[in-house]
Amino acid sequence: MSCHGPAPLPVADRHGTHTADDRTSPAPLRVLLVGGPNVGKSTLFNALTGARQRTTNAPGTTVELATGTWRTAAPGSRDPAIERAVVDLPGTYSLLARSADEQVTADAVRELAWQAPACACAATSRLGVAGVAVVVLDSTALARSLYLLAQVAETGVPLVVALTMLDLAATATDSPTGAMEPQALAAALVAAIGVPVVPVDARNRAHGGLRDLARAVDEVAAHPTHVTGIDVPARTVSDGATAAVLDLAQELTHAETLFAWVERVATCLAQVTTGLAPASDTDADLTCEHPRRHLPSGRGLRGRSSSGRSSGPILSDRIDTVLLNPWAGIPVFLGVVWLLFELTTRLAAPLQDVIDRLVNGALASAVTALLGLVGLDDSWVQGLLVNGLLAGVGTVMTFVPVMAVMFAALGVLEDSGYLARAAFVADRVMRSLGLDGRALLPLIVGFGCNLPAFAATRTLPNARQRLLTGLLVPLTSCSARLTVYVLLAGAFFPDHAGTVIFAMYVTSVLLVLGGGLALRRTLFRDVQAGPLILILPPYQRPHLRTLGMSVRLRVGAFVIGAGKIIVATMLVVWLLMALPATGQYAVGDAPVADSLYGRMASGIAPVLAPAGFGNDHAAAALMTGFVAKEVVVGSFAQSYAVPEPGDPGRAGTLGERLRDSFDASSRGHGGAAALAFMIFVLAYTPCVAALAEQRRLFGWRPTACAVGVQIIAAWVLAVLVFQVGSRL
Amino acid sequence: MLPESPVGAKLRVTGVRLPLADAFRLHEMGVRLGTLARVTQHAAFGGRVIAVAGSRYALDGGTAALIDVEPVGPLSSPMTRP
Amino acid sequence: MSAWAAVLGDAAAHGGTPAQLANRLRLPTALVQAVLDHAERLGVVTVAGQGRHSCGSACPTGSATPPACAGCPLSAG
Repeated sequence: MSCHGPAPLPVADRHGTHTADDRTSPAPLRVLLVGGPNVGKSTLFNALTGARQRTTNAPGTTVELATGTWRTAAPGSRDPAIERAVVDLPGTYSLLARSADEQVTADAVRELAWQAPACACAATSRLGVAGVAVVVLDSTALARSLYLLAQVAETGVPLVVALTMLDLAATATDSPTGAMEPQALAAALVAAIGVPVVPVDARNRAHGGLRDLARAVDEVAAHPTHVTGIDVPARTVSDGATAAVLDLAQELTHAETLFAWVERVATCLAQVTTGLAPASDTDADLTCEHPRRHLPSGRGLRGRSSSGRSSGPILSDRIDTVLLNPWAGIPVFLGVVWLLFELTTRLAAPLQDVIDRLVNGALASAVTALLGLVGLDDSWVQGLLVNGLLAGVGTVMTFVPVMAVMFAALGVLEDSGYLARAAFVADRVMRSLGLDGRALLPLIVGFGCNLPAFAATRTLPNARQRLLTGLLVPLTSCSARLTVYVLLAGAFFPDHAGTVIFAMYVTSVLLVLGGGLALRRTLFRDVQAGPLILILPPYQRPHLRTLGMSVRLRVGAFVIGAGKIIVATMLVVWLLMALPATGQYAVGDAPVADSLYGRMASGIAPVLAPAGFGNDHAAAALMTGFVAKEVVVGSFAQSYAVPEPGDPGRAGTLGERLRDSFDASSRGHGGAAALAFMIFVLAYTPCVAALAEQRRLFGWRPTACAVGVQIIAAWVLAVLVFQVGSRL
Repeated sequence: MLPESPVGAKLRVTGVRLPLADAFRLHEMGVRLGTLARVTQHAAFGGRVIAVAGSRYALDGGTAALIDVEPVGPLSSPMTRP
Repeated sequence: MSAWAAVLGDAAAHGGTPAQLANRLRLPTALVQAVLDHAERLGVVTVAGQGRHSCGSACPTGSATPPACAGCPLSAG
C-alpha cells in the first residue's frame, strides 16, 4: 500500500530537532491532538510536552503548528523513557474543512490514517502503527464533540479519547452528564464507542490522568481499536488527502448516518445519566431507544432547564418588566450608562496614575541614568528618548486601563443579555438621527472619554452607522476637556463657574444633535433607521474566560494599531519643540517660544484673533491640546512660566496671567474670549489618541476630513461666540 | 393589531406588511404567516416584545404596527407553542 | 426520524434559531448546532449571526459578513 497523502507533518526527535527521515532509529510514535476550539487541547499539549516543544508551519501553508516530545517512563521497568512526537493540530469542529487551519487538521488526520494498517487484526498489529489520534472531547458539549469524533473515526485512524472540561461539566446547568463521576462517564463512553476514554485534567500533572492517557495511547498503538458502529470506507489508491469533489446526495446520506450514530451515543449516555441503562454494555450493537421517549422533557438530571446557563425565559420576562418598562426602562438605562461612564473614568484613573508614574517616572529616570553612563544625559538624545519616545509609549499605555475597562464592561453588557435591551430602550431617541438605539451607548460613553467611545461603535450593525456615530463622538465633551473648563470658568466667571461648565455640556449635546442632523441630510442620506427587530437573549452570567480573551485581543489591537500613530505624533511634537527657530540655540536647548513649535504657535495666533484669543499662549495650548487635552492646563502654565495649579479651579497666578492675556487679545472682552476658547476646545479634535483610534476603525480619509471639519467648525463657532458675546 | 394586543395575549400572525427584505428577515427568524406568538412586554413608544417558540423578539413601534395578528384560543399546537 | 432529517426539516418549515429548533424538537442544543454546522459546511443551510445569540445584541461586524445577512435590514450597507 502506498501513501499518496500530503507531505508528512514535522516530527520532533528526542533532541527536539526536526528530522525528516531518521534511518538510524525508528521514528517516535506520532500523536495528533484533535479537537474543537477551546476544548483544552493546547493546555493538554503543554502538559504533555513541557518545554520540549517548538512551533513550525504546516507544509505548504502559513498555519502554525506546535510540535513537541511527550516523554514518559515505561511502567514498571528500567527501560528508558518512551517518547512520542506530539502535534497540536488547529482546533476544528469538523473534518469538512472551510478554513486553512481546519484543512491542516483534516489533512493530518487523513494522512495518519493512510499510514495505519488496513485492518486492526492481530497479525498486523505487531507491526505497530505510525501514530495515534487523541481526540479531545469537551464534556460540556459532548454532542458537538461526538460529531467530530465520528468523522475522525471514519478515517480509520487508531484513536483514543481524552475527556476534558470535567470540572466545568460538573457545574454546568445544561450538561446532562455533569452529575456523573468522571470515571463513570468514561466507562459509559467506552461502552458506547468501544475505544479507550481517559478523563484528563491537564492542569494536574500528577493526578490528571496523563499517565493513563500515555498507557492508552501505547496500548492502541500496539493493538489498534476502532470506534464501534462507525464504518471505515474502503480506501482507493488516489490522492485521498485532498478534498474530493463532493457528491451532495452521497454527502447528505452520509451525514444522516453520521448523526444517527451521534444521537445513539448521546442517547446511551443520557440513559446512563438517568439510570435507565447500565453503565457498561458489552454488546457492540447498542440497543438504546429513541431519545425523545426517555429524556425528561427539556430537563437534565437535576431538573434544570436545558436552555443553557441562563435564568430561563420566565425569569428573563420578569426582569424585563422592569428594564423595558416605559417609565422605568429609560432611567435604568441611564443608570447603567452612568455606571459605564464612572467605570471608565474612576476605575481606570488609579491604574492610569500608576502607569504614568511607572513610565514617565521610574522608567524615564532609569533611561536617563543609563544615558548618563555614556554621557548622553542632558543631550538631545535624552530628550528624544524620554520626552519623545517614552512619552508616546506612556500615553498609549495609560489608555490601556481605560480601553480594557470599556471592552470588559461592554462585554459584560453584551454577554449578560442587557445590551440588546439597552438598544431597544434607546431606539426611539436615536431614530431622529437615522440611527438605531445602539448608537446612544458610544455617544454617552464619549462624555467620559472619546477613545473607548469609538470602541463602543462596534456594537452598531453596519459600517455606515458606525461611521456616522464615529463622526459624532468627538463632539461629546470628554472628561479631559473638563479640566480646561474648570480653569477658565474659575478664572473668568468665579461666581458662575458651575453654570458655565454645565452650559458647555448642554452645548455638547446640541452639537451632537445638530451635527447628526446635518450629516443625515448631506453625506448620510442613505442611513435609514430601519426596523428594529432584535432577538432578546435570556439573561445569563457572562462567560468570564471568553470575556477575558476578547478584552485581551481588543486591547492588543488598540495598542498596536493606534499606538503607532500616537508614538509617532509625540515624537513629531518633541522634535518641533526641540528644533530651534534660530541659530542661537542648540537642538533641545531652545525655549518653547524660540523653537519651531513656538514659531508655529505665533503663526497660528493671528488666525485665532477674530475669536478673541489670538495670543501665543492660547495658540500653543491649543496645539498641545491637539495631542492631549489633559496637558492644556500644563501648557498654559509652562507658557506663562508659572507652576501648574494642583486644582485648576484655584488657578491663582495662572488665572491672573490668563485674564491679562485674554483681555489684551480681546480688547477688554476677556470673558467672551474665554467662552470662545472653551467652545473651540469642545469642538475641535479631541486628542491624537482618539484620532488614531478613529483612523484605525474608519480609515484615513474620513478621519482626515473629520479633523478638517472639526477645526473649521470649532473656529467658526468660537468666532461666533466671541463676536456676539463681546457685543452683549 | 399587534400594538393594541395586551401583555399575555396569544396571537397568530396573519400578515407582515414590511418591505420585502425585512419580511424575509422575519421569515428566517421564524415569524411567518401562521406563527403563534405571545405578547410579553409593552415598551416605550409602542415597542413590543413577543415570544415565539421560546425566544423573545423586540420590535420597535413602527414595525409592530405592520404585523397583522389575530387572537387565538387557549388551545394551540404544542409544536408551535411560544 | 433521525436528528439530521428532523433538524433540517424543522429549519425549513419554521426557521428560527438553533435554540428554538432544539426546544421544538426536544433535542440537545449542541446536537442541533452540530447538525446545522455540518449542513452549512455542505452548503445546504446558511445560519445567520455569530456566537451564541445569533442576531441578538449585535450583528456580525467587519467586512466579512455571512451571506445570510445579505437581506437583513440591520446589516444593510
